[in-house]
Amino acid sequence: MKYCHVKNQCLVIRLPGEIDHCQAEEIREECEMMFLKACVRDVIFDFTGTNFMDSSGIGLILGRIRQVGPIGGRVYLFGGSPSMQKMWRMSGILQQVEVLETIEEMKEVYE
Amino acid sequence: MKTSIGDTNRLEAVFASSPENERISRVTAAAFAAVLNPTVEELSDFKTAVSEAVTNAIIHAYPEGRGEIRLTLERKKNEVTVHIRDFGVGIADIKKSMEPLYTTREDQERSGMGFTFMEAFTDHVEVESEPGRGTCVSLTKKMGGEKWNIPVR
Repeated sequence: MKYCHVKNQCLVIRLPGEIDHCQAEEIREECEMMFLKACVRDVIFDFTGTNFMDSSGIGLILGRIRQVGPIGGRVYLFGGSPSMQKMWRMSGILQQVEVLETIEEMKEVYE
Repeated sequence: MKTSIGDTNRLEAVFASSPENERISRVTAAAFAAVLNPTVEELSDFKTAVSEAVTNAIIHAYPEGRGEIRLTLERKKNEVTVHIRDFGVGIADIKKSMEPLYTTREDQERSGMGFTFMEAFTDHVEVESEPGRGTCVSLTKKMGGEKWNIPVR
């Protein structure tokens, strides 16, 4: 797996340097595969290695919210540049996700 | 090393509506604007706006295959305008297409935030479209503040 791994029912997605429409499709396919293979409840998007994103990234997050919402799972966002944080605010997804500020907070989610 | 730059510049590129050109077009636009010494955030916002317009052209303009997209970059002092023109299906209802969260491609997990980000991340957005003839999106953004033309030694 290029982007995803599962830890204690938590799907951790380490996002690439750039998330556009092509990358988002590739990541989505990998996520779908993980959902089939493993038992997933929560999802963490790790943006620490990402320096570019467009609305395709928002689509990717919304898709996972729709996927784990009905089974009581949560979606978490970690890292992200000021531009990305503006996109999260504008799209309204912050009402449906939790932003993690530190690695310790991230570890608490999957440990 | 940056020497004093001219008041105007122009660059035009024509490319196929293939997804790999999304990256090439936003990197080209960023390189064109970089001469103004923009902040990291300004440049990142500009790239996102360009990416939205180009992705729209690639996803929506040519449902029956591939076509051409023309990217024109113009700079007047510290104001950059990018025109993204396609010759595809056009947009029947421009107002509707610009509404936040509106998308015609639910199947592709599109967020419908494209035009919202273009408007938020640039100073001016203009859309011209004619069904069957194509669409032209123009984005204008000032970058680099007042010191855009001061030579660096």
